[in-house]
Amino acid sequence: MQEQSPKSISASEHQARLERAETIARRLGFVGRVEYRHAYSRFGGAQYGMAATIEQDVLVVDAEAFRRDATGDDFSLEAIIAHERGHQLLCRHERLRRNLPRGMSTVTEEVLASLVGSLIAENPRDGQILILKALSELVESGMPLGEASQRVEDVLTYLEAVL
Amino acid sequence: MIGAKKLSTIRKELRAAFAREKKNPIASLDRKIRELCKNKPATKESRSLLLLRDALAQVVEVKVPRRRRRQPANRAKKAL
Repeated sequence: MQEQSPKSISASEHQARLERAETIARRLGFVGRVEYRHAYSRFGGAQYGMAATIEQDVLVVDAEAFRRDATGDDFSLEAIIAHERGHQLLCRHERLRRNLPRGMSTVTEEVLASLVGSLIAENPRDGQILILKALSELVESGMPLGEASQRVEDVLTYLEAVL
Repeated sequence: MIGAKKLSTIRKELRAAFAREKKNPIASLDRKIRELCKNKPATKESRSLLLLRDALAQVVEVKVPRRRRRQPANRAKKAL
């Protein structure tokens, strides 16, 4: 059974985690504040918050992201942050915003964030697992897998052209 | 947010979905990739298709058809 709360860490470890998260976020192009919270959340490891301006946007990375990254066979910290950067791009990228459906569902947004994240992730393995995440969301929402695969292919082709 | 579902669970669910539908999209993806790469350097489109193909390869079991072994001709046993 997973622990309910992370073990305590020193101030220097806390700072090191923040720096690592921020380094990854900046490499992926994230603009805004990056915060680290030493707690387990139900978000899966990180959450993006859109603010009034892009400079005020916030990326909160928590202990869950580091726990998953450490297992070696779950989403890496890079993949988790790439997904959140995907959310920022969906909110802030001019061309993407213009072509997104108004009032899109949460599932659609999560799928798109994963696919955007898959294209900006530096490690192909991270890109692949974000694509699996997108496929999984579509299948879970009731779409047959063959159709989900075709939709993902079409969206990836579109995103490559726009980004 | 990426959500709490583990990657291993995602793979398991997708494998089950593929097994139910019995469709393998990798072959058609491979054809498209070969077509895009024919006599041309890799394009953005071929790279994203490769990413998708490699992601699917993690969950689709590609059955390699086994070649039937040729039966060796009966050889006369050498007298020892």
